[in-house]
This record gives sequence, structure tokens and C-alpha cells, in this order.
Amino acid sequence: MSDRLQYTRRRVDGASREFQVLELVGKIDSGNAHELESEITRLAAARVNLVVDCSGVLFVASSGMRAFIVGAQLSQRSKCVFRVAGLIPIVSDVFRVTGLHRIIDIRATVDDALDPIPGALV
Amino acid sequence: MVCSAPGAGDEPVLPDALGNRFVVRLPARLSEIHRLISIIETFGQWNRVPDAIIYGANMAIDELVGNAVLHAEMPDEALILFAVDFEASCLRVKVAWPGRAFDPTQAPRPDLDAALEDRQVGGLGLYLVHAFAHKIEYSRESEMNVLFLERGYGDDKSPLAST
Repeated sequence: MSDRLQYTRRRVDGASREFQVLELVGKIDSGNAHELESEITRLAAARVNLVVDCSGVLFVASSGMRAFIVGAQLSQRSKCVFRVAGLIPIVSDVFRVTGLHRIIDIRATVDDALDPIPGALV
Repeated sequence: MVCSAPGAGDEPVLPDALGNRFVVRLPARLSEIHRLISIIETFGQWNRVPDAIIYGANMAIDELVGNAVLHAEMPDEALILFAVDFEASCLRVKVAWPGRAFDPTQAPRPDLDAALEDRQVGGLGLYLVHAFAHKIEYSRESEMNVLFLERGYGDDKSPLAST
């Protein structure tokens, strides 16, 4: 992966099922978005419940949004979870204006995305 | 003032004192986009441009470079020219690239209300270019595609002018 976008992946047990958390740090531009899309596609094809942690993402170009749309579509077909967490306000604003918040499950934090038990403190 | 971007592995040469305008000739490769984004951020912050405007400009420029590289059928050693001006609370960007004629102003608007299974993955980038700019003009000049963007700003909190 490009040194402008770094990512790590870890397995996390949610309240009711296992997740893979893909943590991204850096900027998603047209120079690296295809690598991200390939990784997301690979995980979706493996029928993984995926949370993409974007709390360290400072910029998302349209090619990055494409990767998230593809991930959501593939996960929907395979009946797996695909959630995006931790968007910084400026990124969240663009996602909202482009309607992505209606088709992608976006959560404030990774903890929120891991099927928290209703009423439990996180 | 001209910044040179001679090629892969070389950093752009910036003067010691930053002004409010610059010109960059960037090799037409997707891998070069991050360098241009960094230059725009640096000049934008120097000129106290709101973060939202810098962000929106980078979204627009990323899309235009990406389209040019992927669709313009440019020669291998082609350069894309960027002239950026941050004067009088107005960002002006001129982008020029060789190759096949392509007018981004004519791109169809994507359906932002489509359900997930019906949502097209393409078209979003050019929509964002239009949503960012107050003014956008395309022309074909001496076999070059030339695009001009303009966005005025104050204390903007959103990258997008039209929402």
C-alpha cells in the first residue's frame, strides 16, 4: 500500500459476531484508491464483517468513495456487514451531500460499529 | 512564480517566500497527485484559505487529473499544467492537459438518491467538481483541454458551494 495511505487489519469480537477492522491512516486519492478498493473487494469476497476505521483519514477523493460504495454493494450481496466509522467532519459532510450516508452504514466510532449491546456503556 | 515538478522522486521546488499564485507542470501519472495536493495545502494554508476550500480544491483537482490520466490517451511524457491563484478571497484554478478532447462540464449528474444496489460507482467525482466551483468553463485550445474553475470563499465550513 502507498506510503500516503497506511492500513492495518485486526480481528475483533463484537457483541454478537466477529469483525475485521481495517484501520486507514492518511489520504485516499486517485493514486492509491485502487489499492484500497482491491483490499476491500478481497475482504468482501471472503464474506468478512468489515468495519473501516477512517478516524485517521484526512482526505477522501471520489475514487475513495467509489471503494466504499463497492464494498457496501459486495457486502450487501454476501449478506455481511460493511460499516465505515470515524469520519472526520469535513469528510462526513461530503459523504452526506453525495448521499452516501443513505447507502453506507456510517458510525461515529469503531465501538459504535461493533454491534454494541443496547444500553451498554462504551 | 513557477514550481518545477521534474519527475518521480524529485520534490517540487518552492521559493522561500510563498506568494498567492503558482504554476506546476505535473507528469501525467496518478502517483503524482499526492504531490500536487501537498502543494495546494501548503499554499492554501499560507494564504489562510479555509480548510474546507483547500479540501474541495483538492477533490476537484484529484478528479480532473484522474480523468485526464485514465481517459485522455495522453503521450507517455505528457505534462498537466496547473495554475492556481488565491487572490482576493477567490480561488482560481486553470488546468490544461493534452490528448483526446473531453469536456467535464458535460458529464451527466449521478443519481444520488439511488438505492445501494442501483447506485453507479462512477460520475461522483465530476459532480463534486461542479458542486465545489462557483464557475467552471471548458475550452479546447491548440489540441489542449483547458478547464477553468473559480470559487469564492469567506469562512466556508463546507467544501461544496452547492448542496
